[in-house]
Amino acid sequence: MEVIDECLSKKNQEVISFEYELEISGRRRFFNANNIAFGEDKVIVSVRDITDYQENLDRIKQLLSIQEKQNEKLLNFTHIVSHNLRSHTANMQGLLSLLKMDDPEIFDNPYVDLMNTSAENLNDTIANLNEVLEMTFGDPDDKISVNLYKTVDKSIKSVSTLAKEAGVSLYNEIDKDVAVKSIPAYLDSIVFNMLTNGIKFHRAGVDSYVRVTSSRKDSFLVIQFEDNGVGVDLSLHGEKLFGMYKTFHSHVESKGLGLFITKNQIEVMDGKIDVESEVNKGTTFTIYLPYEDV
Amino acid sequence: MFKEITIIDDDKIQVFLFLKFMEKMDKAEIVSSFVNGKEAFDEMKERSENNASYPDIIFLDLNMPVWDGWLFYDEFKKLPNSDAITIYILTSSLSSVDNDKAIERGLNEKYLNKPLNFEQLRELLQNK
Repeated sequence: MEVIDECLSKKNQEVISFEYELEISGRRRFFNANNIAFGEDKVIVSVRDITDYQENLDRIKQLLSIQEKQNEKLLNFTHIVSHNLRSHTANMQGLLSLLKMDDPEIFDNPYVDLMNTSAENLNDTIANLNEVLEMTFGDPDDKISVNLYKTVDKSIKSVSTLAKEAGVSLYNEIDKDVAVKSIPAYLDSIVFNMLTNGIKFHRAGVDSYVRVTSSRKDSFLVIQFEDNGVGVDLSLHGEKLFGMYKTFHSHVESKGLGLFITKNQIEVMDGKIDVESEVNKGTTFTIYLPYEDV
Repeated sequence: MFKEITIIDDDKIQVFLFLKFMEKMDKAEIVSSFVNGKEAFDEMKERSENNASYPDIIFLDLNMPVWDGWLFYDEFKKLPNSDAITIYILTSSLSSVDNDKAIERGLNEKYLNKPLNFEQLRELLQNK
């Protein structure tokens, strides 16, 4: 009755909606009622059975909550595993370094030397896996406005020795005022990975370069990393290029994690990455990040 | 020469390594160790009440039973004159949560990842 009075009191024929539940033949059913005034003293009431909708919604909410709890458990578990494993490898490395100080000759024994290498490798592997895990659980809400030119500039400086040794020129051709909404640590890591990738896979006997440019395309900011390196046969490796632990050039030290991490970081920020490549011509990676006025 | 350097860590091997490194470096008169944050805090509190001096430098692990490193850090900072003491976080945690906590407390420069090797430790103490 209250709703009917309320409807009649509204001058502008406003619809008043509410939901309610009833038990019919032992089953809970949900209804949605829309009420609107009709003339001075009448109200049209339309009632819809929304039981199926409501039950599906409850099921989805329940699944989502289970999923969230499982994600949280998984994250905790990975932290515990990575921490505990790292503690042991750190100890192993520490003990080996003490052994080296007390008895350096013992490292002439290849068993001991290989044990040392294994401890170092184990440590690296755990650090890499941890990076992958941290990234998988990254929060897209952490995006802030970042100057792209400066980010690329900073990365170029940090890889300059590597580039110089390999004889690769790096060109930052991004406009100085281009900004992008991103998770800063991810953007740093993406740019760093793209540059080191270009440097690692340079081609001998040519003036090697990696050129970074940016442009707008529809709702995306497009960042391109173009090199004239060894290239990769996409018809053979295309689908696997961004997979975990995939390497395609046996002569270069590569762990097969860089592109996997890069792709995931881009996707967490609602972007995408494409690649064009030709063997002995070069490779262009194109990264699309959502353009937002910043 | 430092008067006292302390390590707080529940990992016996880590403590053994640290003590060995310190012995070889001969940089401190006393090297003390505690197996968790609570034990270390109780000792520091007692020293504070008796006007005894704190260690010059504390190396603090994060994941420990009873009191973890963060709880020790926050409680120790409430003790009088604790600001003058240098605390290094020495952890095998790679978690961004711990990293963020370190940044919140202005410890970004004092966050060390295990393994801490001999040279690193020597350099660190030399620059102090």
